[in-house]
Amino acid sequence: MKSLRANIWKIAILLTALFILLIAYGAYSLTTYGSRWFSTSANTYLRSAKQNVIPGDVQDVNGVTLLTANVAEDENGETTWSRVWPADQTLRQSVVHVLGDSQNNVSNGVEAFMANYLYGFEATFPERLGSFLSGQTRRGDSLTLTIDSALCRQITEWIAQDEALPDDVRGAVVVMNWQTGAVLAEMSFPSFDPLSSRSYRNDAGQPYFNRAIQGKYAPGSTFKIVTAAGILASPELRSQSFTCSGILRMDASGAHDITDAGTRLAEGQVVSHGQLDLQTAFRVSCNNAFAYAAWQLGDEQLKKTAQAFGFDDNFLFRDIVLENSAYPGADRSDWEIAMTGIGQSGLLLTPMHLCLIASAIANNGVMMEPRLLERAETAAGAERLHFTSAVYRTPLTDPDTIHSLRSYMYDVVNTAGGTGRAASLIGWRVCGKTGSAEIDGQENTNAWFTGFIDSEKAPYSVAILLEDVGGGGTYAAPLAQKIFKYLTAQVK
Amino acid sequence: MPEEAYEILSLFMRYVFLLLGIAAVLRAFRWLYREHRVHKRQLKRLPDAGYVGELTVPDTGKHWPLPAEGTLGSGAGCDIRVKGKGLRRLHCTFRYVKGRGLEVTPVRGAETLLDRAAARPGRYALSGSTIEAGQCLFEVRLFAGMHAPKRAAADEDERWMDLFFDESIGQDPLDPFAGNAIPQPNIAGLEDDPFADPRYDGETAPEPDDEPVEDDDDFI
Amino acid sequence: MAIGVRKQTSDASGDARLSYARPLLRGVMLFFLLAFLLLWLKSYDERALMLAVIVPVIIYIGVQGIPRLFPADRLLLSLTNFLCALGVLVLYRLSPERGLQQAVNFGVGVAAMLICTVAVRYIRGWKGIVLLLVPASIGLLALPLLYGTEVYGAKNWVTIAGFGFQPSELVKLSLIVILSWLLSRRKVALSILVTGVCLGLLMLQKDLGTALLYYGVALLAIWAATDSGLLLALGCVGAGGAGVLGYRMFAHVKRRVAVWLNPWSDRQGSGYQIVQGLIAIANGGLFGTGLGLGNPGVIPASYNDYIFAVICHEFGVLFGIVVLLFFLALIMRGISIARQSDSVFHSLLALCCTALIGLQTFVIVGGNIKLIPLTGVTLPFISYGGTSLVSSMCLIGFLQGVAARNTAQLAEAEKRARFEEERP
Repeated sequence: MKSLRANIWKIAILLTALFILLIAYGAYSLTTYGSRWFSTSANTYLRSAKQNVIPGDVQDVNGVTLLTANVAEDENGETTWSRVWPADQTLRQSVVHVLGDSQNNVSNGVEAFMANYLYGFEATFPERLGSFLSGQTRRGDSLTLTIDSALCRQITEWIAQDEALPDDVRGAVVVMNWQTGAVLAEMSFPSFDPLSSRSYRNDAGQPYFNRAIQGKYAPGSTFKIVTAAGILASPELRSQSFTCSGILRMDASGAHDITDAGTRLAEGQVVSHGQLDLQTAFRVSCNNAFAYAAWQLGDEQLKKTAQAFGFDDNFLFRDIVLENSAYPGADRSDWEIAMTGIGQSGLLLTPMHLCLIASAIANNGVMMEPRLLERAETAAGAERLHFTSAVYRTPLTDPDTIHSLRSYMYDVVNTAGGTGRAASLIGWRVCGKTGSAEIDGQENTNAWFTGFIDSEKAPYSVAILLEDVGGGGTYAAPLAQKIFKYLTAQVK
Repeated sequence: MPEEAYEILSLFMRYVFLLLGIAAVLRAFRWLYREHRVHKRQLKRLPDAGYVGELTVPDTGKHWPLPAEGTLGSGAGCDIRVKGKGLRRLHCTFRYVKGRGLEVTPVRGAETLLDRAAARPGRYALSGSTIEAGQCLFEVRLFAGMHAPKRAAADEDERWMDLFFDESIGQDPLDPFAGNAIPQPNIAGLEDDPFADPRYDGETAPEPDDEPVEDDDDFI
Repeated sequence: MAIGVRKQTSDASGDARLSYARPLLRGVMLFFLLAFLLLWLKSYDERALMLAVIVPVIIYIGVQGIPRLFPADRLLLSLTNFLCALGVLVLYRLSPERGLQQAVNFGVGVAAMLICTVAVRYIRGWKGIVLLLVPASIGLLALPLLYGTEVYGAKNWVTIAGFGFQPSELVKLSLIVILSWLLSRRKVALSILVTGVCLGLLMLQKDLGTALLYYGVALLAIWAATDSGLLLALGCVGAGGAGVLGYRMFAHVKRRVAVWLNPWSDRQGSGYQIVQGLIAIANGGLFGTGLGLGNPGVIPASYNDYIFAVICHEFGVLFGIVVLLFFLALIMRGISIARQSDSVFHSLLALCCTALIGLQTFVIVGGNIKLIPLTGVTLPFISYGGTSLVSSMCLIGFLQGVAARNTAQLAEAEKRARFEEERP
């Protein structure tokens, strides 16, 4: 009995420890993930939110009102409200993916995702009591976003006016401030008019889909940024020189040849770059060199580098619900590994993630968390929340690597032979990388461009995707130039 | 009730509920602790609670208190720990069966004799019986009222009435403070053991119970 | 001696401990009165008003009345009543019909508890009963395999004449008795065998959550009784091995583990339940959304698996911690009852009941907050379900029986002490 009693006591301690574990873990989870869980929930609660709260306004960073509420009294004397959009249709179309429409066709728009502010869920008990006692209908908090609506509107117009692009072009544009992480533009094409009564659900271009943060695509040559980072981290490969003969034969059968064919060439013709070092290979976007280097680097290392940049991570940003980017799984053939080095074969990322990658290069290897919310104000005018930038992760720490990558990207835009010359801007250090991703079933490649202005006076980065149009340097880079020109004009 | 009013009321009430919950939990734990202390005090007052007698060695006169159910051996976990010749670490178990006596069961064939015959389930020791474990001889002494068999010796589970008959039905709990002297512990101490009974911690007499019982009529 | 100190008897938790029972009781009664009144104000449903009166009264009768008629432990009764009433409250909030049904189940549970208390208190010869229970348990466990219906991927429900019940909940009780008895007679091999057979049957039914609980309790009981470090180590290794095996063999185990590691990857599909549960808890925050203000219906299985998330959602995480502390107090009381017993069988019985309640609570709350993968066990006393509530009440009944026996032993010692004094 004695030993039994002793053991029973030990079991008591075990059970107590288990319960303490529960309480501790619960507290930890709640503090770490609590706000994130709540943001995602806003969708469900919006549907059951009481109609007795007037939603707050939404403005852009320059004070332009994007959403407001018209308050009226109906025949019973009850207060009713309706959401008011800007009068300009182009403007509406430019911001609808960020704001979300009233029927929740767009997922995770500000209207739904930040309903906790807009619909007064963040109101403290005294505030609620105050409004209850005064008898006035409550108003939710007003939000100021980091979005520059004039820029967005301009981007829509540029794309509409670009004759090289089809009318119903599909794609996405993301513009960020790489120093703070503020998002200036988050756009998806084709877009739609939120005030239109028709349903766009069956449109071929899927206008409700927010390609910037939900669309997952093969990055194509833009992934060479990551591959280059991996190569620079490897002492054997970083100073190696590559030979590009036009065709990289991966195995004897010839079925897995990797060619350099940025643009369609006649049958049998290949582009051969000859001897080049990493810098040159990056500038001309040589597939052979990067495929070979990726294969030499190995899947493990490349995966590690990609994961350092955020691939396979669960993005838990406070303001944005970003789909995860994926690095393909294990057990891959040499050919697949080589193809991954040039951005094909199972890699998937979102345009916003690509912008984050470019931002990291610009910001000395530090990737900032993308933020949408500049400020939240109560109905009475007091500030409830103001913007704080946060570091998301630091993919690069070696100053040499960072410097090298920055100069490679500068070359792409400013040196002869660079694929991104169309994005260059006089008087500013524009850096970038083009990409032309081949997609099965598509006649043309997807055009990619990602880049940034290497200057603290205009710390902006972009990522542009245009589906099924052709080469990145031809179609996406010019749009980047226009965006940078617009932004730098405001600086002077 | 209008929705807004209900909302305010419910928001206010959640603090009330939490406070009531916390108060209840604190009281529950206080009660728990109180029960524990009261029980310890009772054990001090009733040194024989849980024990049915004692085991003695006839030659040397050494005693051990005999629990209602326990183990005998030389190992540390045994209730009666004896270092003797031929005694295994866990030699045998014993169990007091009401109305029969002390049943001794050897563990894994350890040599144990009850009244000079093999000890096994179904044979019972009474006051004065001898137990030979290994080469050690013990004598059993049971407390008064516990040594007389109530029925003819038969397998206890055959008689179905046994299943339900229990002497404690109808007993009144007694008030130990009815003016009597508190009985002294009369059994020698155990060897050094962290799980020893608190009444054997060297005190010769338990102190009087002088803590008054408060009548807590308030709760918030 | 201290004559005149009243209210101190040898009855450890009998009539005397009113000084501690009363304030706890009044606090609890007030809690439920206010809570049901608040719910009544929400929708003016008379049933809420009725419950606002009935529930506190039942709690009062339960804690003050029952101990006068039956051997009972007041503290245990108070804690149990609070938890069961909380269950009725939350279930009523989710759906009045279920709340009322739970109240009825509670009544049945109390009756079952009293039966179990009397049984454990007075029965002395358990050998015959155990001999009957072993085949009965195995038979009951085999029943769903032959006649059962599949619910949520596990085939552990049986419907007889319109009554649905889970045999595994009943067998839980008999296995505890069997295990305690076998271990008290040092028949370790046999106890391992019986447990193994029951576990095997449960695995066949794919009721892995309950199997996990049985295993945990059996392991703890065997270790407590034998004090064998070797058996404990083997048991832990076995658990690990069984875990890996279960992971490989059962597809839905793989799914549960994957969705536990990253529920966000499949927000709308298999991760939906966990995600909604976490969201609801976070939405409640520290103090809750307020009774009647939240949106708990969104969480799937809010009635049984996720009832804890519902409590945290409307009452707040702090209150959730309070509920956990109530369970902890219950467990502590059970442990002290086990330690105070003088019979190995009863001690093990009390230990098994306590460990079962403790482990079950840990497993289900852990699943709710994503500490461990979600398993199909219920939160004792609070989750909806007749069989679950009744079996939990029976466990409390066993504990009460052992406690009553302890009290009786102490009373006998008193009598003996007086007898010894009066002897010349």
